[in-house]
Amino acid sequence: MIKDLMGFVLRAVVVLSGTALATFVLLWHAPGDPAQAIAMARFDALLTEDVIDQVREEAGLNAGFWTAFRAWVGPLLTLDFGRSAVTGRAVWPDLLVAIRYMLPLALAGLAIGLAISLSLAIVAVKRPGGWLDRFAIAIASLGTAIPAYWLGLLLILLFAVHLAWLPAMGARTPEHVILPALTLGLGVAASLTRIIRSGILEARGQSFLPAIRRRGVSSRGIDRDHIAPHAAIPVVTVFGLELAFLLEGVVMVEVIFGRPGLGTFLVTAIHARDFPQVQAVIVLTALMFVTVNLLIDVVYRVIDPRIGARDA
Amino acid sequence: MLRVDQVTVKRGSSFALEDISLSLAPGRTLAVVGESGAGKSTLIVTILGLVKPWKGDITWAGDSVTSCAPALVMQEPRAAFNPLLSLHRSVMEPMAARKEVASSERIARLCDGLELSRDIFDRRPGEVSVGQAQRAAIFRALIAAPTLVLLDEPLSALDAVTQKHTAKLIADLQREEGFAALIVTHDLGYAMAHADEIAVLKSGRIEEISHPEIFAKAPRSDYCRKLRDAAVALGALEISE
Repeated sequence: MIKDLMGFVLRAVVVLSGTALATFVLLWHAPGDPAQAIAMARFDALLTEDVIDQVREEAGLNAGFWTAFRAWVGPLLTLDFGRSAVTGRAVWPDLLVAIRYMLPLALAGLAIGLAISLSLAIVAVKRPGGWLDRFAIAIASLGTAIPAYWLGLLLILLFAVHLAWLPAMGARTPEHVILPALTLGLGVAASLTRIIRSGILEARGQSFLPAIRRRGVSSRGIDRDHIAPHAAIPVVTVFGLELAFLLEGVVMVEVIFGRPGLGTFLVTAIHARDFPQVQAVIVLTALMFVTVNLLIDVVYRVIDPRIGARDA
Repeated sequence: MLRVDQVTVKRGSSFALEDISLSLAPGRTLAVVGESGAGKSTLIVTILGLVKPWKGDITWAGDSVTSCAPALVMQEPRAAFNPLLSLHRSVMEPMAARKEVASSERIARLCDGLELSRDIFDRRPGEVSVGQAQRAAIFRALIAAPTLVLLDEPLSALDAVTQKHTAKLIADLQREEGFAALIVTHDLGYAMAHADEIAVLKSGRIEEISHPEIFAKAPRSDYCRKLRDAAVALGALEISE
């Protein structure tokens, strides 16, 4: 257990420092003049060279790569993301506001994705190869093929423009979360449906099941004790990857639906070359990934203790 | 009573079982012997209803075999259990299916007879030996007082002493509870000692069904004679004059 924990901490340190370094290098070497972008974002006007030089000085951009990196990494060790190069405000409070907007969207998207994929998969495996099964696979394939930005626009067109049932933009009321969450959820459902479906079908093929069934164990008992845990293993794996997809989707969906949130925060920061803000989002995302992976590891071991035993 | 009536099972263009007829009354044991690939295991899965016969009927007391909730001991003991569940959960499943709880006397008797220590039930199939898994599978087959037990090579992974004790437990319980047992085995000595009848299977057909003594003294076909002589030569069988 202690060995496992140390392994996790070591992996987390490697991933986080690797991500921090990579982001910094990429941002530093991105084409264009960061000082100009920051100055444009800060003053929202055409600027003279003097002003741009002043911004360069303030943002620490002329100190050289390593000096700038050290100046950023030092406070980061205490989870201090510094101050925005554009607004001069501390990054944390603004980031928290963005997360507060993003979380309901991400959770609603995930819930919709799970609900749709579970129901579709369960309907599909009732008769594998039947028309419902083929219909479910077709829907899932279609869902995978449609990118979020297009699906989002289609949903806006239908529900906001033609039917006028739901708002298209903003985040004022709970209703505002429905369309973006649906866009996210349909994407999640597309890939999860196929995984859950094949997981259930594989679980049904386990060699010991027919004899247990003949022995009088109810279908419900078999589903609960033998099918669901077995089918859950690949689903948990994909679920981890799905969270990556979800974050990527959140960025896209927030921009399409004009919602404040982590995605909008990140995109605005990238445009303005606001290094501290961009890096804060990236490091936080990496931290989230490492944590989710740890949780998945734990869940694996609960479902299938052989996994822990094999590693030991 | 189990009735297998003129059952034929097709495999591709050939026959895995051809025109098999046999019956097995409660309290009786039928041993099915024969070379590998003769169709012994196919016969078991067909009786269990996992393979549909191309022709013929299989019934238990005039109803489908499923109606008597037959117990199976599979040839591959580890594959007989859910790898994710503890053996305890798996072996008690037939009891749970009947919404009953096994008495501690029953558990103790089975554990003693099968020489199983109770702590193995906390483990999962991958954490016990094949022999332990095989005995756990027999435990599961017998825990809920079955009416029909199908055993596919039930003693193959056990040492000689445990084989003897396990065979005795199965025979004792059968005498007391009167279940019908169909045992597929390569061990003619075991078949002779415990079966009421021996069925010899060759290439999917029954060569002979007879009382063990008759089989030992006067096998009906060349193949049956060869089988008997080989068992005698290996010391698995003694023929009394």
